[in-house]
Amino acid sequence: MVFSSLIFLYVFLPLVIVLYFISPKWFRNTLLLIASLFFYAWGEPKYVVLMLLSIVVNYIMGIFIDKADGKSKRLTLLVATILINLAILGYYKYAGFFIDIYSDITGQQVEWEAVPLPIGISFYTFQAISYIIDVYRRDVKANRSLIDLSLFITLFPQLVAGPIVRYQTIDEQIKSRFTSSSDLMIGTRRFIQGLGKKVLIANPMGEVADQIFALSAGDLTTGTAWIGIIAYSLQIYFDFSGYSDMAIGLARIFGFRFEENFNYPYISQSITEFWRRWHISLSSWFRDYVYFPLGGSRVSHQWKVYRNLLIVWTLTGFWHGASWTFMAWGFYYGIIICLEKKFILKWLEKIPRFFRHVYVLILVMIGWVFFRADNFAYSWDYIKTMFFMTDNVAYDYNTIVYLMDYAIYFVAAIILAIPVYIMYQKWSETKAEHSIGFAIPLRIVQTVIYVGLILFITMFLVNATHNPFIYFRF
Amino acid sequence: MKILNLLLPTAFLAVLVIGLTLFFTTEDREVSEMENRELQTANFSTNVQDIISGKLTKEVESYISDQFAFRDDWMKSFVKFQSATGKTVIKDQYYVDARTGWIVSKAADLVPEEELDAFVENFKNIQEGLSAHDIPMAFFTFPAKATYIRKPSPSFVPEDMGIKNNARLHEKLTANGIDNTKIMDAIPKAVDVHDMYFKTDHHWNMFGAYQGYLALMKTINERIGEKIEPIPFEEKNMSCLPNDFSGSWNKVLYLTVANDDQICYNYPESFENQFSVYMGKVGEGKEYTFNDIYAGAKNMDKNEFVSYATGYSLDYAMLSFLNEDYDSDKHIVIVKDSYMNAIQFHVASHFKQTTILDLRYSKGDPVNMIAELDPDYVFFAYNDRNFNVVEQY
Repeated sequence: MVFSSLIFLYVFLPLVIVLYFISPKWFRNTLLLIASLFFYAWGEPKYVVLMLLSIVVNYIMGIFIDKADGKSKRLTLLVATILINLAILGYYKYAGFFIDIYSDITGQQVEWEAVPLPIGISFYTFQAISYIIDVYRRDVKANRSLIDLSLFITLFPQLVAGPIVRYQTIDEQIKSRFTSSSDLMIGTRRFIQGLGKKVLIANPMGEVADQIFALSAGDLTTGTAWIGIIAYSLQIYFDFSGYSDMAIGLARIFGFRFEENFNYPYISQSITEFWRRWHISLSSWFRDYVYFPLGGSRVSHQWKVYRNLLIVWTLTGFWHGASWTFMAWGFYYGIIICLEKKFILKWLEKIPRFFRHVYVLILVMIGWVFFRADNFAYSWDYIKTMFFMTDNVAYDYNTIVYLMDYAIYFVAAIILAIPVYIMYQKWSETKAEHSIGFAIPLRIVQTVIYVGLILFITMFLVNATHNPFIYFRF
Repeated sequence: MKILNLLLPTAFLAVLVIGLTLFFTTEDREVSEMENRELQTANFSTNVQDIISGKLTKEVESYISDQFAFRDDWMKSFVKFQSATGKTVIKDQYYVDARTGWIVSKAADLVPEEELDAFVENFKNIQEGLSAHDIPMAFFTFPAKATYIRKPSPSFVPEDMGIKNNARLHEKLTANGIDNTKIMDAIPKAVDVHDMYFKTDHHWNMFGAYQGYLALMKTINERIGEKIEPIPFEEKNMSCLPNDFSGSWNKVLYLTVANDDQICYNYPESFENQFSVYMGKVGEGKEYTFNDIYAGAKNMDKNEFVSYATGYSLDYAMLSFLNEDYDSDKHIVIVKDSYMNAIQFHVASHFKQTTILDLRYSKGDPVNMIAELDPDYVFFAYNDRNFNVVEQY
């Protein structure tokens, strides 16, 4: 089920909220688990079994690892569990890719029928692995309640597109939590903000990007190519951060506090900073479970730091999808971050802030071309068109139409991609805390605006076709 | 403070619950007139395979979307929002000039050569088939609104390829020995095309249809070797309905474009007693009169919207007209699309027998169908945006 659908908004969500708050506390986790499984089964009925299998394996292995005495035995169990998780992920996500490589190298054709990728498998597999590693490290105790562990992995707000929640983050909250009136207000507000980001900005930006990336390289103009990549950059940010906002907001309504997943990445002044602000839960996962175990930056030779960075970033690319373009995209960031570490960061400090932003935005947009395009050849042609390196004209009818028809969305997206509204929100909330005279009109106006926003979003949803989140396919 | 905090979540939940309640209490509709399609109803696939494959859940999602309370109003608001924000091409189909009420279709691309060749090939086969039965034929194109009304539209929109496509088609027809005429060429240049069409529909209005009729009769005369005088366009024969008009393009835009379109008629009173009409071959089934087939909207409530179809005539697979007051004793067959509907009686008034065929609603080989009628002449008359008429039968 998709958050930005009428069935979720007007059927599933009100029913779950009402049932949750009228249920006794002891039943609430079970209710959320049932709701989460239903939520998942709605889109992927047959893959619920796969997810449940993954949960049971991790549940049992977590207890074994927790109980095991010797370090080597614990390590063996850990490695076995990780391999099982990766085997499931690999079969569904990467098998076809590796079989193609094998066939290309050996010239032998291997019979393989591609299997559809279960939605959210990359996210829940990583959550499960983080749980197992944390149990192994003795950071947490293995959870003896199958329902609670299942809820951690399947909790519907974050099930299909993250953020990747660490078990440590919500361990205590699963056992005991309380939803205050403030949580309800903040959660509701955050959910509506996220829904607005997805429906009112990401989807229109997606229309532009999809149409432009569907053009052949010869039909592109420089202006259209720039509009296309700017649209995609805004689409992917508002799509994914919108989903994260909805997940965080919904979780808050049910009393959970998730970590932030985005922090205005497009205002970054270096690529290193960009990745501290973009998909934070994935970056920190790779940092804690891959980069640090490889030695991180505490290694005997400087080249090993670069090696570690390149491994981590190539894997990050590979996590997104089984294709060379994703790997290249990850490797691209690995190279840039290595170069920044070596000398670019020092150089950036010396130039005006404006140029640091330009530097980041251009590199990120070039990266998105590889991410969005279907193959390398098209990516290269697209980038060459962007920089006047082809014979294509500067603009045409489509360029003007995209600019005119979507100007309002571009302007809104750019304003919301910088932390203007959040600054206002923080200021107004602080003032409301200290002045009831300010709080009353603030809450009334806020309610009117957000209810209006929900109705406005509904208007878009009634007119929309099925429009899933970009990160569903990862 | 606690109550203040609960204001937004309570209002939010109230909106969702009201939406849910309205959804369950609103009666389901089977068809959307505005969208011109069947809506998903609560007849779901419930076998195990459909549940596992996700077909059932997709149907339920479609059902909720299609039957969402006040769906048409939401859709209408969205179109208004798009217009208000200055969208050039609304619903990815039309340019709208709110000031004048004109709706202009998005510019068409060049029709691929193969598509034109296939179209001509089909007509070549039909001509050969009819020749075997000694039935002569000709192909005419009526000027479509989409081809000739290109303004008002934004200055930067690309050129519409309709006229070029039509010219290419006629060249190919001629090269393949198929008798053909562009009806537009027989319409006087002095006629302003903006007077010929509804602003919000894809058809011509009565004035435009009449120009088409005059030009059509001229070209028919040339084929059959007669000098039939068409009925002149006279003010005394003119009458208009007070009803609001629901143009086909305006319906796609949820009737959001204000306009002054009106269904008007221009025919002599004698039409009402002149014809015997059959929905099929002559003598088949019930005999109808002019008023049963044409201008049925005259009997509609003045508050009801009238469309081109309800205003003039619906499309029928076959209509046979017997005429007591004819100029020619010939039997002609006209194979047509809806452009012909406004003037079918005008044309039929000149011949002893006229058969109007609409292949979109017929099944079977058109050659056999026409041969069985044993006509003196066959005319194919389609609007010039229609490039798949033969494949549709």
